[in-house]
Amino acid sequence: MTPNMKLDRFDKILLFLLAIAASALVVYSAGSFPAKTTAIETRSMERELAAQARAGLLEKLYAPVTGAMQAGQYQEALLKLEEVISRYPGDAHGFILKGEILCRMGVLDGAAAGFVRGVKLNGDYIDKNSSFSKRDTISVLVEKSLPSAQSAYKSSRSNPALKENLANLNYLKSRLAGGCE
Amino acid sequence: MRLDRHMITVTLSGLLLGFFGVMLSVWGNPENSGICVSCFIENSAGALGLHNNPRLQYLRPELIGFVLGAFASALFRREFRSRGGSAPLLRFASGFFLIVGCAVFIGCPIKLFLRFTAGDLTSLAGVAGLVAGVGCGLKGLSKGVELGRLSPAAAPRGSGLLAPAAFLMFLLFIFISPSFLVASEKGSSAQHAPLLISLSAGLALGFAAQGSRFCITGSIRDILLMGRRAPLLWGGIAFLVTALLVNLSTGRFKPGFAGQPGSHQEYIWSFLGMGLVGWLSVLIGGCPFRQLVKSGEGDSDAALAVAGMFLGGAVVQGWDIAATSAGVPLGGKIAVISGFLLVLGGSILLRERE
Repeated sequence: MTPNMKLDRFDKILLFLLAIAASALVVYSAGSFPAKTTAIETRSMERELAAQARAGLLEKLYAPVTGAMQAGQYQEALLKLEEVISRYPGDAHGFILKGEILCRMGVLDGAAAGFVRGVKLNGDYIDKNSSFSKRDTISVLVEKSLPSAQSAYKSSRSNPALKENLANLNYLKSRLAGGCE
Repeated sequence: MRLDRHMITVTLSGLLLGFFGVMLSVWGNPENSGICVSCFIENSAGALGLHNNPRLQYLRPELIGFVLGAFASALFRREFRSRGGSAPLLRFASGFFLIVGCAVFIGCPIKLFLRFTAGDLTSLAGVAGLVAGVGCGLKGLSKGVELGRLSPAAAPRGSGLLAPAAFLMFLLFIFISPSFLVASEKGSSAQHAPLLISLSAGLALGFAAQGSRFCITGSIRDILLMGRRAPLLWGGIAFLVTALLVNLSTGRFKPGFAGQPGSHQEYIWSFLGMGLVGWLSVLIGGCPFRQLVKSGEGDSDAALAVAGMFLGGAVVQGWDIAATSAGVPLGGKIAVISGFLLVLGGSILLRERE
Protein backbone atom coordinates (compact mmCIF):
# COMPACT_ATOMS: atom_id res chain seq x y z
CA MET A 1 0.00 0.00 0.00
CA THR A 2 1.50 3.35 -1.02
CA PRO A 3 0.40 6.84 0.14
CA ASN A 4 -1.06 7.62 -3.31
CA MET A 5 -2.95 4.36 -3.57
CA LYS A 6 -6.71 4.73 -3.88
CA LEU A 7 -8.69 2.50 -1.56
CA ASP A 8 -11.64 0.68 -3.08
CA ARG A 9 -14.64 -0.70 -1.27
CA PHE A 10 -12.98 -4.09 -0.62
CA ASP A 11 -9.93 -2.38 0.93
CA LYS A 12 -12.19 -0.38 3.21
CA ILE A 13 -14.01 -3.53 4.36
CA LEU A 14 -10.67 -5.21 5.07
CA LEU A 15 -9.42 -2.18 7.02
CA PHE A 16 -12.64 -2.12 9.04
CA LEU A 17 -12.30 -5.82 9.88
CA LEU A 18 -8.62 -5.33 10.71
CA ALA A 19 -9.52 -2.60 13.18
CA ILE A 20 -12.16 -4.88 14.78
CA ALA A 21 -9.65 -7.77 15.04
CA ALA A 22 -6.98 -5.48 16.56
CA SER A 23 -9.48 -4.12 19.11
CA ALA A 24 -10.64 -7.65 19.98
CA LEU A 25 -7.02 -8.67 20.51
CA VAL A 26 -6.47 -5.77 22.93
CA VAL A 27 -9.73 -6.49 24.79
CA TYR A 28 -9.03 -10.21 25.14
CA SER A 29 -5.37 -9.64 26.12
CA ALA A 30 -6.42 -7.15 28.79
CA GLY A 31 -9.07 -9.59 30.01
CA SER A 32 -6.47 -12.30 30.47
CA PHE A 33 -4.47 -10.35 33.10
CA PRO A 34 -6.20 -11.75 36.20
CA ALA A 35 -6.00 -15.30 34.81
CA LYS A 36 -2.33 -14.82 34.04
CA THR A 37 -1.56 -13.65 37.56
CA THR A 38 -3.38 -16.66 38.97
CA ALA A 39 -1.47 -18.97 36.67
CA ILE A 40 1.89 -17.54 37.70
CA GLU A 41 1.01 -17.73 41.39
CA THR A 42 -0.17 -21.32 40.93
CA ARG A 43 3.08 -22.19 39.13
CA SER A 44 5.21 -20.59 41.86
CA MET A 45 3.25 -22.47 44.50
CA GLU A 46 3.66 -25.74 42.61
CA ARG A 47 7.41 -25.16 42.39
CA GLU A 48 7.57 -24.35 46.10
CA LEU A 49 5.56 -27.47 46.95
CA ALA A 50 7.79 -29.64 44.76
CA ALA A 51 10.94 -28.20 46.36
CA GLN A 52 9.61 -28.75 49.88
CA ALA A 53 8.45 -32.27 49.04
CA ARG A 54 11.89 -33.05 47.62
CA ALA A 55 13.64 -31.64 50.68
CA GLY A 56 11.41 -33.71 52.96
CA LEU A 57 11.93 -36.89 50.97
CA LEU A 58 15.71 -36.43 50.85
CA GLU A 59 15.84 -35.81 54.58
CA LYS A 60 13.91 -39.01 55.24
CA LEU A 61 15.79 -41.07 52.65
CA TYR A 62 19.27 -40.04 53.75
CA ALA A 63 18.55 -39.79 57.52
CA PRO A 64 20.73 -42.84 58.41
CA VAL A 65 23.58 -41.39 56.36
CA THR A 66 23.43 -37.90 57.84
CA GLY A 67 23.05 -39.41 61.31
CA ALA A 68 26.27 -41.39 60.89
CA MET A 69 27.98 -38.31 59.45
CA GLN A 70 27.01 -36.22 62.45
CA ALA A 71 28.34 -38.93 64.76
CA GLY A 72 31.64 -38.84 62.87
CA GLN A 73 31.22 -42.44 61.66
CA TYR A 74 32.18 -41.78 58.08
CA GLN A 75 32.82 -45.39 57.00
CA GLU A 76 29.38 -46.40 58.20
CA ALA A 77 27.86 -43.35 56.51
CA LEU A 78 29.50 -44.39 53.24
CA LEU A 79 28.14 -47.94 53.53
CA LYS A 80 24.60 -46.68 54.18
CA LEU A 81 24.98 -44.19 51.35
CA GLU A 82 25.93 -46.90 48.85
CA GLU A 83 22.67 -48.68 49.68
CA VAL A 84 20.62 -45.56 48.90
CA ILE A 85 22.63 -44.75 45.77
CA SER A 86 22.11 -48.26 44.40
CA ARG A 87 18.33 -47.75 44.82
CA TYR A 88 18.30 -44.20 43.39
CA PRO A 89 21.28 -43.94 41.02
CA GLY A 90 19.80 -40.93 39.22
CA ASP A 91 19.54 -38.76 42.33
CA ALA A 92 22.23 -36.12 42.70
CA HIS A 93 21.94 -35.75 46.48
CA GLY A 94 23.62 -39.07 47.21
CA PHE A 95 26.70 -38.16 45.19
CA ILE A 96 26.89 -34.75 46.84
CA LEU A 97 26.75 -36.40 50.27
CA LYS A 98 29.45 -38.83 49.14
CA GLY A 99 31.58 -35.83 48.15
CA GLU A 100 31.02 -34.23 51.56
CA ILE A 101 31.89 -37.42 53.49
CA LEU A 102 35.05 -38.06 51.46
CA CYS A 103 36.00 -34.40 51.87
CA ARG A 104 35.76 -34.73 55.65
CA MET A 105 37.81 -37.96 55.46
CA GLY A 106 40.49 -36.13 53.46
CA VAL A 107 39.98 -38.24 50.32
CA LEU A 108 39.93 -35.17 48.10
CA ASP A 109 40.04 -36.86 44.67
CA GLY A 110 37.06 -39.05 45.59
CA ALA A 111 35.26 -36.01 46.96
CA ALA A 112 35.77 -34.14 43.69
CA ALA A 113 34.46 -37.12 41.70
CA GLY A 114 31.35 -37.29 43.93
CA PHE A 115 30.64 -33.57 43.57
CA VAL A 116 31.12 -33.76 39.77
CA ARG A 117 28.56 -36.56 39.45
CA GLY A 118 26.12 -34.72 41.68
CA VAL A 119 26.49 -31.35 39.94
CA LYS A 120 26.14 -32.95 36.50
CA LEU A 121 22.86 -34.52 37.62
CA ASN A 122 21.55 -31.37 39.28
CA GLY A 123 23.11 -27.93 38.90
CA ASP A 124 21.20 -26.61 41.93
CA TYR A 125 24.04 -27.83 44.16
CA ILE A 126 26.46 -25.26 42.73
CA ASP A 127 24.02 -22.33 42.46
CA LYS A 128 24.51 -19.45 44.86
CA ASN A 129 20.86 -19.03 45.78
CA SER A 130 19.66 -22.62 45.89
CA SER A 131 18.54 -24.08 49.21
CA PHE A 132 20.54 -27.21 48.28
CA SER A 133 23.70 -25.24 47.48
CA LYS A 134 27.06 -26.78 48.43
CA ARG A 135 28.92 -24.05 46.60
CA ASP A 136 31.09 -23.03 49.56
CA THR A 137 32.23 -26.61 50.29
CA ILE A 138 32.99 -27.23 46.59
CA SER A 139 34.79 -23.88 46.33
CA VAL A 140 37.06 -24.70 49.26
CA LEU A 141 37.79 -28.16 47.84
CA VAL A 142 38.76 -26.73 44.43
CA GLU A 143 40.97 -24.05 45.95
CA LYS A 144 42.67 -26.58 48.19
CA SER A 145 43.12 -29.40 45.68
CA LEU A 146 43.74 -27.74 42.32
CA PRO A 147 47.39 -26.62 42.74
CA SER A 148 48.51 -30.04 44.01
CA ALA A 149 46.44 -31.85 41.35
CA GLN A 150 48.09 -29.73 38.63
CA SER A 151 51.61 -30.42 39.83
CA ALA A 152 50.88 -34.14 40.36
CA TYR A 153 49.57 -34.41 36.79
CA LYS A 154 52.57 -32.52 35.39
CA SER A 155 54.96 -34.93 37.08
CA SER A 156 53.14 -38.04 35.79
CA ARG A 157 51.08 -37.29 32.68
CA SER A 158 50.53 -40.95 31.83
CA ASN A 159 48.61 -41.63 35.07
CA PRO A 160 44.87 -41.75 34.14
CA ALA A 161 43.70 -41.27 37.74
CA LEU A 162 45.64 -37.99 38.06
CA LYS A 163 44.31 -36.85 34.69
CA GLU A 164 40.73 -37.61 35.72
CA ASN A 165 41.11 -35.84 39.05
CA LEU A 166 42.44 -32.72 37.33
CA ALA A 167 39.60 -32.83 34.80
CA ASN A 168 37.07 -33.13 37.65
CA LEU A 169 38.53 -30.14 39.49
CA ASN A 170 38.64 -28.08 36.29
CA TYR A 171 34.99 -28.96 35.63
CA LEU A 172 34.02 -27.78 39.12
CA LYS A 173 36.10 -24.63 38.70
CA SER A 174 34.36 -23.90 35.40
CA ARG A 175 30.92 -24.41 36.96
CA LEU A 176 31.86 -22.16 39.89
CA ALA A 177 32.98 -19.49 37.42
CA GLY A 178 29.46 -19.39 35.97
CA GLY A 179 28.66 -18.73 32.33
CA CYS A 180 26.11 -20.49 30.17
CA GLU A 181 25.46 -24.14 30.84
CA MET B 1 42.25 4.12 4.50
CA ARG B 2 39.48 6.64 3.92
CA LEU B 3 37.44 7.63 6.93
CA ASP B 4 33.97 7.81 5.39
CA ARG B 5 30.51 7.63 6.88
CA HIS B 6 30.26 3.85 6.42
CA MET B 7 33.59 3.31 8.17
CA ILE B 8 32.41 5.42 11.12
CA THR B 9 29.11 3.50 11.44
CA VAL B 10 30.90 0.16 11.26
CA THR B 11 33.44 1.20 13.89
CA LEU B 12 30.67 2.55 16.11
CA SER B 13 28.78 -0.75 15.80
CA GLY B 14 31.89 -2.71 16.81
CA LEU B 15 32.43 -0.38 19.73
CA LEU B 16 28.84 -0.75 20.95
CA LEU B 17 28.97 -4.54 20.57
CA GLY B 18 32.20 -4.77 22.58
CA PHE B 19 30.89 -2.44 25.28
CA PHE B 20 27.45 -4.02 25.75
CA GLY B 21 28.88 -7.52 25.21
CA VAL B 22 30.85 -7.24 28.42
CA MET B 23 28.74 -4.77 30.36
CA LEU B 24 25.56 -6.84 30.11
CA SER B 25 27.48 -9.54 32.01
CA VAL B 26 28.48 -6.97 34.60
CA TRP B 27 24.81 -5.94 34.87
CA GLY B 28 23.60 -9.50 35.44
CA ASN B 29 23.87 -11.76 32.37
CA PRO B 30 25.96 -14.95 32.79
CA GLU B 31 29.77 -14.65 32.70
CA ASN B 32 31.20 -14.04 29.20
CA SER B 33 27.62 -14.16 27.86
CA GLY B 34 26.67 -10.52 27.87
CA ILE B 35 25.65 -11.13 24.29
CA CYS B 36 25.35 -14.65 22.95
CA VAL B 37 22.74 -15.07 20.26
CA SER B 38 22.73 -18.87 20.42
CA CYS B 39 22.41 -18.94 24.22
CA PHE B 40 19.65 -16.32 24.02
CA ILE B 41 17.82 -18.37 21.38
CA GLU B 42 18.06 -21.51 23.57
CA ASN B 43 16.81 -19.52 26.59
CA SER B 44 13.95 -17.97 24.62
CA ALA B 45 12.94 -21.29 23.04
CA GLY B 46 12.71 -22.69 26.58
CA ALA B 47 10.70 -19.69 27.78
CA LEU B 48 8.19 -20.28 24.99
CA GLY B 49 7.82 -23.90 26.09
CA LEU B 50 9.81 -25.47 23.23
CA HIS B 51 12.11 -27.37 25.61
CA ASN B 52 11.85 -28.21 29.28
CA ASN B 53 15.32 -27.63 30.71
CA PRO B 54 14.27 -25.70 33.84
CA ARG B 55 17.64 -23.92 34.03
CA LEU B 56 17.48 -22.46 30.51
CA GLN B 57 14.16 -20.67 30.16
CA TYR B 58 14.02 -16.88 29.81
CA LEU B 59 12.72 -14.72 26.99
CA ARG B 60 15.82 -12.61 26.40
CA PRO B 61 14.90 -8.97 25.71
CA GLU B 62 18.16 -8.43 23.81
CA LEU B 63 16.98 -10.73 20.99
CA ILE B 64 13.77 -8.75 20.63
CA GLY B 65 15.80 -5.55 20.67
CA PHE B 66 18.06 -6.76 17.84
CA VAL B 67 15.12 -7.38 15.50
CA LEU B 68 13.03 -4.36 16.44
CA GLY B 69 16.09 -2.07 16.47
CA ALA B 70 16.96 -3.26 12.97
CA PHE B 71 13.32 -2.76 11.91
CA ALA B 72 13.34 0.82 13.22
CA SER B 73 16.67 1.51 11.53
CA ALA B 74 15.48 0.08 8.21
CA LEU B 75 12.35 2.25 8.34
CA PHE B 76 14.39 5.30 9.36
CA ARG B 77 16.90 4.80 6.55
CA ARG B 78 14.14 3.82 4.10
CA GLU B 79 15.79 0.47 3.56
CA PHE B 80 12.91 -1.75 4.64
CA ARG B 81 12.01 -4.04 1.75
CA SER B 82 10.21 -7.38 1.79
CA ARG B 83 12.46 -9.78 -0.04
CA GLY B 84 13.19 -13.49 -0.08
CA GLY B 85 12.31 -16.64 -1.94
CA SER B 86 15.70 -18.31 -2.25
CA ALA B 87 16.05 -21.92 -0.98
CA PRO B 88 13.76 -21.43 2.05
CA LEU B 89 14.01 -24.95 3.47
CA LEU B 90 17.78 -24.99 3.15
CA ARG B 91 17.94 -21.70 5.01
CA PHE B 92 15.69 -23.10 7.71
CA ALA B 93 17.95 -26.16 8.06
CA SER B 94 21.03 -23.91 8.02
CA GLY B 95 19.58 -21.87 10.89
CA PHE B 96 19.00 -25.10 12.79
CA PHE B 97 22.61 -26.26 12.29
CA LEU B 98 24.00 -22.79 13.11
CA ILE B 99 22.67 -23.33 16.64
CA VAL B 100 23.99 -26.91 16.70
CA GLY B 101 27.51 -25.66 15.90
CA CYS B 102 27.22 -22.88 18.47
CA ALA B 103 25.85 -25.26 21.13
CA VAL B 104 28.77 -27.65 20.66
CA PHE B 105 31.26 -24.79 21.01
CA ILE B 106 29.11 -23.11 23.75
CA GLY B 107 28.46 -19.74 22.18
CA CYS B 108 27.85 -17.83 18.96
CA PRO B 109 30.63 -16.00 17.09
CA ILE B 110 30.07 -12.87 19.21
CA LYS B 111 30.47 -14.86 22.42
CA LEU B 112 33.49 -16.60 20.91
CA PHE B 113 35.34 -13.30 20.86
CA LEU B 114 33.86 -12.17 24.19
CA ARG B 115 35.28 -15.36 25.70
CA PHE B 116 38.61 -14.70 23.99
CA THR B 117 38.83 -11.10 25.24
CA ALA B 118 38.06 -12.32 28.78
CA GLY B 119 41.16 -14.51 28.61
CA ASP B 120 39.45 -17.82 27.81
CA LEU B 121 42.19 -19.39 25.72
CA THR B 122 40.10 -22.49 24.93
CA SER B 123 38.21 -20.22 22.53
CA LEU B 124 41.27 -20.13 20.24
CA ALA B 125 40.19 -23.48 18.77
CA GLY B 126 36.84 -21.88 17.97
CA VAL B 127 38.52 -18.84 16.39
CA ALA B 128 40.58 -21.13 14.16
CA GLY B 129 37.46 -23.14 13.30
CA LEU B 130 35.41 -20.04 12.47
CA VAL B 131 38.11 -18.63 10.19
CA ALA B 132 38.53 -22.02 8.50
CA GLY B 133 34.76 -22.37 8.07
CA VAL B 134 34.44 -18.91 6.53
CA GLY B 135 37.38 -19.74 4.26
CA CYS B 136 35.69 -22.95 3.10
CA GLY B 137 32.44 -21.06 2.49
CA LEU B 138 34.26 -18.47 0.40
CA LYS B 139 36.00 -21.18 -1.59
CA GLY B 140 32.56 -22.68 -2.25
CA LEU B 141 31.16 -19.32 -3.37
CA SER B 142 34.06 -18.86 -5.78
CA LYS B 143 33.31 -22.32 -7.22
CA GLY B 144 29.65 -21.53 -7.80
CA VAL B 145 27.97 -22.80 -4.62
CA GLU B 146 25.09 -20.39 -3.95
CA LEU B 147 21.67 -20.62 -2.37
CA GLY B 148 20.24 -18.30 -5.03
CA ARG B 149 19.62 -14.60 -5.03
CA LEU B 150 17.19 -12.67 -2.89
CA SER B 151 14.45 -11.05 -4.86
CA PRO B 152 11.78 -8.52 -3.85
CA ALA B 153 9.68 -9.99 -6.68
CA ALA B 154 9.79 -13.48 -5.18
CA ALA B 155 8.53 -12.34 -1.77
CA PRO B 156 4.86 -11.47 -1.34
CA ARG B 157 4.45 -7.80 -0.47
CA GLY B 158 4.45 -7.29 3.28
CA SER B 159 5.92 -10.71 4.08
CA GLY B 160 8.96 -8.98 5.55
CA LEU B 161 6.74 -7.54 8.28
CA LEU B 162 6.06 -10.96 9.78
CA ALA B 163 9.37 -11.30 11.65
CA PRO B 164 9.19 -7.83 13.28
CA ALA B 165 5.53 -8.57 14.12
CA ALA B 166 6.49 -11.87 15.77
CA PHE B 167 9.18 -10.19 17.86
CA LEU B 168 6.76 -7.38 18.74
CA MET B 169 4.46 -10.11 20.04
CA PHE B 170 7.38 -11.51 22.10
CA LEU B 171 7.90 -8.01 23.50
CA LEU B 172 4.25 -7.93 24.56
CA PHE B 173 4.74 -11.35 26.16
CA ILE B 174 7.49 -9.87 28.33
CA PHE B 175 5.19 -7.16 29.64
CA ILE B 176 1.95 -9.12 29.97
CA SER B 177 3.54 -12.49 30.98
CA PRO B 178 1.03 -14.95 29.54
CA SER B 179 0.58 -18.12 31.56
CA PHE B 180 2.52 -20.29 29.08
CA LEU B 181 5.65 -18.14 29.30
CA VAL B 182 8.24 -19.77 31.55
CA ALA B 183 11.13 -18.11 33.39
CA SER B 184 13.87 -20.07 35.18
CA GLU B 185 14.33 -19.37 38.85
CA LYS B 186 17.72 -21.13 38.89
CA GLY B 187 20.65 -21.76 36.59
CA SER B 188 22.16 -19.43 33.99
CA SER B 189 18.79 -18.25 32.69
CA ALA B 190 17.95 -16.88 36.11
CA GLN B 191 20.91 -14.55 35.62
CA HIS B 192 19.98 -11.54 33.56
CA ALA B 193 20.54 -7.82 33.36
CA PRO B 194 17.56 -5.56 34.23
CA LEU B 195 14.85 -5.78 31.57
CA LEU B 196 14.97 -2.19 30.33
CA ILE B 197 18.77 -2.19 30.11
CA SER B 198 18.78 -5.45 28.12
CA LEU B 199 16.06 -4.22 25.82
CA SER B 200 17.72 -0.82 25.25
CA ALA B 201 21.09 -2.45 24.55
CA GLY B 202 19.45 -4.82 22.06
CA LEU B 203 17.61 -1.97 20.32
CA ALA B 204 20.79 0.12 20.07
CA LEU B 205 22.79 -2.80 18.68
CA GLY B 206 20.07 -3.80 16.21
CA PHE B 207 19.77 -0.21 15.01
CA ALA B 208 23.55 0.20 14.61
CA ALA B 209 24.12 -3.22 13.01
CA GLN B 210 21.37 -2.70 10.42
CA GLY B 211 22.92 0.54 9.26
CA SER B 212 26.48 -0.71 9.23
CA ARG B 213 25.88 -4.36 8.09
CA PHE B 214 28.36 -5.31 10.81
CA CYS B 215 28.65 -8.95 11.78
CA ILE B 216 31.45 -11.21 12.97
CA THR B 217 31.54 -13.75 10.14
CA GLY B 218 30.99 -10.93 7.63
CA SER B 219 34.05 -9.18 9.04
CA ILE B 220 36.16 -12.34 8.72
CA ARG B 221 34.83 -12.91 5.19
CA ASP B 222 35.69 -9.36 4.11
CA ILE B 223 39.13 -9.50 5.73
CA LEU B 224 39.89 -12.75 3.87
CA LEU B 225 38.68 -11.17 0.63
CA MET B 226 39.91 -7.59 0.90
CA GLY B 227 42.51 -7.55 3.66
CA ARG B 228 43.12 -4.15 5.22
CA ARG B 229 40.78 -2.42 2.76
CA ALA B 230 37.73 -4.09 4.34
CA PRO B 231 35.69 -1.54 6.34
CA LEU B 232 34.34 -4.35 8.55
CA LEU B 233 37.94 -4.96 9.68
CA TRP B 234 37.76 -1.71 11.64
CA GLY B 235 34.45 -2.74 13.17
CA GLY B 236 36.03 -6.04 14.22
CA ILE B 237 39.04 -4.27 15.71
CA ALA B 238 36.80 -1.79 17.55
CA PHE B 239 34.77 -4.71 18.95
CA LEU B 240 37.82 -6.66 20.13
CA VAL B 241 39.66 -3.68 21.61
CA THR B 242 36.57 -2.35 23.41
CA ALA B 243 35.65 -5.78 24.80
CA LEU B 244 39.24 -6.33 25.98
CA LEU B 245 39.44 -2.91 27.64
CA VAL B 246 36.06 -3.29 29.38
CA ASN B 247 37.01 -6.82 30.52
CA LEU B 248 40.30 -5.49 31.91
CA SER B 249 38.73 -2.50 33.61
CA THR B 250 35.98 -4.58 35.24
CA GLY B 251 38.42 -7.23 36.46
CA ARG B 252 37.00 -9.94 34.20
CA PHE B 253 40.17 -10.73 32.27
CA LYS B 254 41.42 -14.07 33.62
CA PRO B 255 43.73 -15.72 31.10
CA GLY B 256 43.98 -19.50 31.08
CA PHE B 257 42.80 -22.73 29.54
CA ALA B 258 41.28 -24.58 32.48
CA GLY B 259 38.18 -23.78 34.52
CA GLN B 260 36.92 -20.95 32.31
CA PRO B 261 33.22 -20.12 32.61
CA GLY B 262 30.96 -21.97 30.16
CA SER B 263 33.76 -23.70 28.27
CA HIS B 264 35.17 -27.15 27.69
CA GLN B 265 38.53 -28.47 26.56
CA GLU B 266 37.48 -30.62 23.61
CA TYR B 267 39.35 -28.48 21.12
CA ILE B 268 38.62 -30.55 18.02
CA TRP B 269 34.88 -30.23 18.60
CA SER B 270 35.19 -26.53 19.35
CA PHE B 271 37.02 -26.18 16.03
CA LEU B 272 34.42 -28.24 14.14
CA GLY B 273 31.43 -26.56 15.80
CA MET B 274 32.63 -23.08 14.90
CA GLY B 275 33.82 -24.33 11.49
CA LEU B 276 30.25 -25.40 10.75
CA VAL B 277 28.95 -22.00 11.90
CA GLY B 278 31.47 -20.13 9.73
CA TRP B 279 30.72 -22.17 6.62
CA LEU B 280 26.93 -21.94 7.01
CA SER B 281 27.13 -18.23 7.77
CA VAL B 282 28.87 -17.54 4.46
CA LEU B 283 26.29 -19.65 2.60
CA ILE B 284 23.28 -17.87 4.09
CA GLY B 285 24.90 -14.44 4.31
CA GLY B 286 25.65 -13.84 7.97
CA CYS B 287 26.10 -15.17 11.48
CA PRO B 288 23.12 -15.74 13.83
CA PHE B 289 23.19 -12.08 14.91
CA ARG B 290 23.10 -10.89 11.30
CA GLN B 291 20.18 -13.23 10.53
CA LEU B 292 18.17 -11.53 13.29
CA VAL B 293 19.10 -8.08 11.99
CA LYS B 294 18.23 -9.00 8.40
CA SER B 295 14.90 -10.47 9.47
CA GLY B 296 14.14 -7.07 10.99
CA GLU B 297 14.78 -5.27 7.71
CA GLY B 298 12.32 -7.37 5.68
CA ASP B 299 14.43 -10.36 4.62
CA SER B 300 12.02 -13.29 4.91
CA ASP B 301 14.80 -15.78 4.06
CA ALA B 302 16.70 -14.61 7.13
CA ALA B 303 13.45 -14.89 9.10
CA LEU B 304 13.25 -18.54 8.07
CA ALA B 305 16.84 -19.04 9.24
CA VAL B 306 15.78 -17.47 12.56
CA ALA B 307 12.84 -19.90 12.76
CA GLY B 308 15.33 -22.74 12.17
CA MET B 309 17.50 -21.27 14.92
CA PHE B 310 14.58 -21.42 17.38
CA LEU B 311 13.94 -25.06 16.48
CA GLY B 312 17.67 -25.70 16.87
CA GLY B 313 17.61 -23.97 20.27
CA ALA B 314 14.86 -26.31 21.43
CA VAL B 315 16.37 -29.48 19.98
CA VAL B 316 19.94 -28.98 21.29
CA GLN B 317 18.50 -28.85 24.80
CA GLY B 318 15.91 -31.58 24.38
CA TRP B 319 18.13 -34.11 22.59
CA ASP B 320 21.29 -33.72 24.69
CA ILE B 321 23.26 -32.07 21.90
CA ALA B 322 24.54 -28.97 23.70
CA ALA B 323 28.02 -29.16 25.21
CA THR B 324 28.64 -28.28 28.85
CA SER B 325 31.77 -27.68 30.91
CA ALA B 326 31.99 -31.48 31.13
CA GLY B 327 32.51 -31.73 27.36
CA VAL B 328 30.61 -32.50 24.18
CA PRO B 329 27.98 -35.26 24.43
CA LEU B 330 27.76 -37.95 21.76
CA GLY B 331 24.57 -36.35 20.44
CA GLY B 332 26.46 -33.10 19.87
CA LYS B 333 29.19 -34.83 17.89
CA ILE B 334 26.65 -36.65 15.73
CA ALA B 335 24.71 -33.42 15.15
CA VAL B 336 27.84 -31.51 14.05
CA ILE B 337 28.76 -34.30 11.63
CA SER B 338 25.18 -34.21 10.30
CA GLY B 339 25.58 -30.46 9.80
CA PHE B 340 28.69 -31.03 7.72
CA LEU B 341 26.78 -33.65 5.69
CA LEU B 342 24.19 -30.96 4.92
CA VAL B 343 26.81 -28.37 3.96
CA LEU B 344 28.88 -30.74 1.85
CA GLY B 345 25.93 -32.47 0.20
CA GLY B 346 24.22 -29.14 -0.36
CA SER B 347 27.37 -27.66 -1.88
CA ILE B 348 27.62 -30.54 -4.37
CA LEU B 349 23.96 -30.30 -5.36
CA LEU B 350 23.69 -26.50 -5.40
CA ARG B 351 26.86 -25.81 -7.31
CA GLU B 352 26.36 -24.04 -10.60
CA ARG B 353 28.68 -25.63 -13.11
CA GLU B 354 29.68 -24.06 -16.40
